[in-house]
Amino acid sequence: MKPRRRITLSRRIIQLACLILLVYGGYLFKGRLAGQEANVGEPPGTGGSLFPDLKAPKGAMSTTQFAPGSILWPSGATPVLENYPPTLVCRFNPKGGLFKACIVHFFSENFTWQTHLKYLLPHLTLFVLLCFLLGRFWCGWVCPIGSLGDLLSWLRRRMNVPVRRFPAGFRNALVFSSYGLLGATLGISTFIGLPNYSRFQCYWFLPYCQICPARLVCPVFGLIKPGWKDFTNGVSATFTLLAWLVLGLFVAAFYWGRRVWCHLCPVGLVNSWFNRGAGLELHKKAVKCNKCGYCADACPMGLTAMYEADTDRKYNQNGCIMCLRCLEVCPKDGCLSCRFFGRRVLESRY
Amino acid sequence: MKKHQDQGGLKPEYASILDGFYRGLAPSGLSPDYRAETEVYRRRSRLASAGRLYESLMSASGVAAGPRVGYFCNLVPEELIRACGAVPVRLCELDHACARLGEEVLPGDACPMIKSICGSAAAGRYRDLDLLVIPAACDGKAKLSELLAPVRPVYLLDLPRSSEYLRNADAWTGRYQDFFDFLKERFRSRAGRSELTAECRRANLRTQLFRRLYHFRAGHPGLINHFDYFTLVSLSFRLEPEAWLDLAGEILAEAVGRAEGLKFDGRRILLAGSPIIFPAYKVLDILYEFNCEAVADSLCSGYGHLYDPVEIDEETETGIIRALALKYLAASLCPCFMGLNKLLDLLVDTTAEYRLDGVIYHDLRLCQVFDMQTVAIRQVLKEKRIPFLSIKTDLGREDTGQLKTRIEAFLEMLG
Amino acid sequence: MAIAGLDIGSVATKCVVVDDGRIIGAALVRTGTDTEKAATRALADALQQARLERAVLEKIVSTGYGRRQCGLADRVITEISAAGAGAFRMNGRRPGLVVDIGGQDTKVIEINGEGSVSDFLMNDKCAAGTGRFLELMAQVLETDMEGFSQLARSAEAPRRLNATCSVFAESEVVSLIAHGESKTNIAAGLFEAVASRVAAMLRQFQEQPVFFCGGGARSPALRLALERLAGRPVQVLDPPQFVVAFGAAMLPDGV
Ligand code: SF4
Repeated sequence: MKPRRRITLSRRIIQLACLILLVYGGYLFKGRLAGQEANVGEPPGTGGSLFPDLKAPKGAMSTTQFAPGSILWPSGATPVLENYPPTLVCRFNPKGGLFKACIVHFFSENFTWQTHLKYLLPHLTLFVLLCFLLGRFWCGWVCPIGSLGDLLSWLRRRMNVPVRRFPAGFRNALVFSSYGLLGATLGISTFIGLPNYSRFQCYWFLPYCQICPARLVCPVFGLIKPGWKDFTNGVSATFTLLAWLVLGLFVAAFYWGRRVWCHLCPVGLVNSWFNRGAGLELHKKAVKCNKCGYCADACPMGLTAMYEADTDRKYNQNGCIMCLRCLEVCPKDGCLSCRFFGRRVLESRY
Repeated sequence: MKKHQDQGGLKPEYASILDGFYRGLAPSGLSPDYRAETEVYRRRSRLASAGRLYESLMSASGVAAGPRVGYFCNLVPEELIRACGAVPVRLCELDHACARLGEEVLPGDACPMIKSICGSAAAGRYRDLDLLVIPAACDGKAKLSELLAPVRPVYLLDLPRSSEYLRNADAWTGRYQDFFDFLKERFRSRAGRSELTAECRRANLRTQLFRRLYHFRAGHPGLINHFDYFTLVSLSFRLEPEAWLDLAGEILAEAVGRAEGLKFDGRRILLAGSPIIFPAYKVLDILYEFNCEAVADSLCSGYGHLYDPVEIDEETETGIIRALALKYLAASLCPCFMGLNKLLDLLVDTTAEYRLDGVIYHDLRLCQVFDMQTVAIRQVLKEKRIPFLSIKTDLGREDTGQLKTRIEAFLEMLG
Repeated sequence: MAIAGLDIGSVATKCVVVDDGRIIGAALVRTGTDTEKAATRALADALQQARLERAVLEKIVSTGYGRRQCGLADRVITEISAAGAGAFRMNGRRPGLVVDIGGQDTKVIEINGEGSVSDFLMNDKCAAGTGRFLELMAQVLETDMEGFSQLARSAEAPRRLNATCSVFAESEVVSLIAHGESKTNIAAGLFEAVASRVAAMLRQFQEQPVFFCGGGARSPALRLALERLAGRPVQVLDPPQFVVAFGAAMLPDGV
């Protein structure tokens, strides 16, 4: 359509690359990074890591206590790197996966393990550093689940189905719920980590992961046996049903509305806290704006602040996934710009 | 599918009565002859290729064949009309003779453009069109949808009159979608998104070239003078995009080739306000006389008509129609669409960007909405230290002396 | 060296001969239909008063409505720049707003500290609110401008007029007289009508000293009405009709 679809094009390429890397990267780097072949049956915690000290304490619930093939450890394989990038890579896909899991997994797991802060710090520092550099960039450019969702949106567009635009109130409600989700996850994780309640760990371990759409999707990509129908007991059956429900929501959200899901995702939520202070900034020169609304229309997260903005300043919002679509579609030269630590790197140009 | 009716029409009985009246007004028709004006402006141009430009004003080449849809204002998406295989012709005109005839239908204190259009219609100049599309921009235009109904079938494009995207984007999309459905039915077209995409692409090519030309003029004033510029835009009202690209491309190429070492010692101003359409170049004539170039503008017959592109975000049919609504309505500077913020922003930004000497506000007498915002613009620009002159005029040439005094004094004021 | 400033207005043509910043000769003639003739006569009269020969004039600067129709001039400027320059010179080099009520139009000109025009406003095409309007109304009241002003000053309660256009105003005045309204009140109302238009123009600018010139400034009633309606003191420049011609003569050597 236009001479400058370059941002989206690069984003698609990066998304695809990340999808491959995060889901299959393990096959590429296994051995080289970890110094060992993947051993089926070997518990996590023995893979390579930048920070090898993070291990499940003795007696605590850990993946080891699941039989290979069970719902919480379906691959039974070790990830190459036991690290947690700020975006969604999944424990349900460690066979060829490059990393262990996402940041929400990191929190849930370690809250249950009651891991000492000094072991968490290196991981946290890395996470916070990355987030401060790029904000919620991960959601828009890296997250494989988001990329799959974008694929769904693309499919919808091909089928000439108009996008549904949800009112801001609805999106706010989703964000609100994502706080609830994260809170519940961390609450349950902490609770089952208490000495007296460790008996709940078998079924309540990693509560969010058990309903995350990735639980059902990732195994498919990881070419491992999916834990699609775990109805062992009431709890796990509920989790499985919830997971299916959430997956339905996920598909619906991505199909009818673009990235509506991302408002609910707790991983995105954690990332979003870093947006306002991130090195990657979006600026607007308000006097150049002709209020055409293209930026608001194109925003997959449905944000309208860029359109509404009437003063020249930075407009990093929590919801922004740094896809830079607004900057790309803005037809007024120099109206929107993207800066990295104050340096102009991109600006809107027709 | 909904059955679409011609909106804004008159009952056949009333229409034929009114039609009889019109036919009596100008029994022999009215065909203004602009050959003399064309010649004057051709001679004023500094470009050889302008010969072809002014020739096209008089000829019908470059206009596609097919059913012709006349429309007013740049709030009507040409792309939709083209996609249905019809030929859009923007009929906005400012012709003194037609306006005088129009005064026999309308009160004398109606807007000159409305009078001019009504006169043209009464004189039978629109009878070879297949459809008239009239957006309810101002009250005058809305009323025309009834007064022109005897002449040709009319489609009234009724639009919410605020350019606030957040509130109105859905409503606009709906209205445009209705309009598209109507066109498809009327012209038996099965146009869908591939046709729409193709038309948007054609329109965007035109916008791209226009933008280059626009920026070039600011940097090299006088080479493509404001007569050439406004004539070019007037031509885009009816030329096929390709024919227009050909013409404008030639002019730009010649100008770029001669830009080297060119000096301009006059004044460069931004022209805002009511539209200027060939041959109503009175204000431009005066500016020219005082060696002042209108290098930028905010007119709906200039910048407003060609500067904004269609930015397709969702390549679904609805998505494209929505993108068109944003191009034509959200970005509109039309005072009927409450675009004062945007207009002020544009004036402040453009004068700063191109370092212009000032802003002249062309206020066509009797067009209320333009007139009403003058004071606001004046006060804001004054605060921003941008020299501002508002000139109130109409289609007649009697006030040339007074306008000259104002403009000359303004230029003297600039030093 | 003397310079002549010629202000060829729609009603009167004014000429001043200026030497060393002082007016040494001034003349006013009716413009009539032949601008050239009026200009020549005004120039001759002014020269005669100054006791100078035409040949010793350094240059002639024309301004005003007919500025380009006059072949005598060496230089042409608009009456707006001229009024600004003239007023600045006459008011002791103070910035402010110059109100010029002439025959055909009314202007408000803003002059800055350097004496140059920084903004101006003019009335529209129509004659309401100009000197011509007042002249017409004086005729309707069967008096001359002086008598008109006198009438207005003895009014008790100025009668507001509704019509804004001179033609309608005339019939309104006639019907008011027929209904027994006193001429004094009508006269005062007419001055208020003009003054309120000017006051509205003044309000478009920031609060500054106001200087009054042009034919309209000769009428004290108008000045008083303007002072009242604008709510600020208005200083009449003397002689008011020659401010523009004087400014034209002063402009070439810088303000
Ligand atoms: S796309 Fe650009 S010009 Fe349009 S509303 Fe957004 S910021 Fe303004």
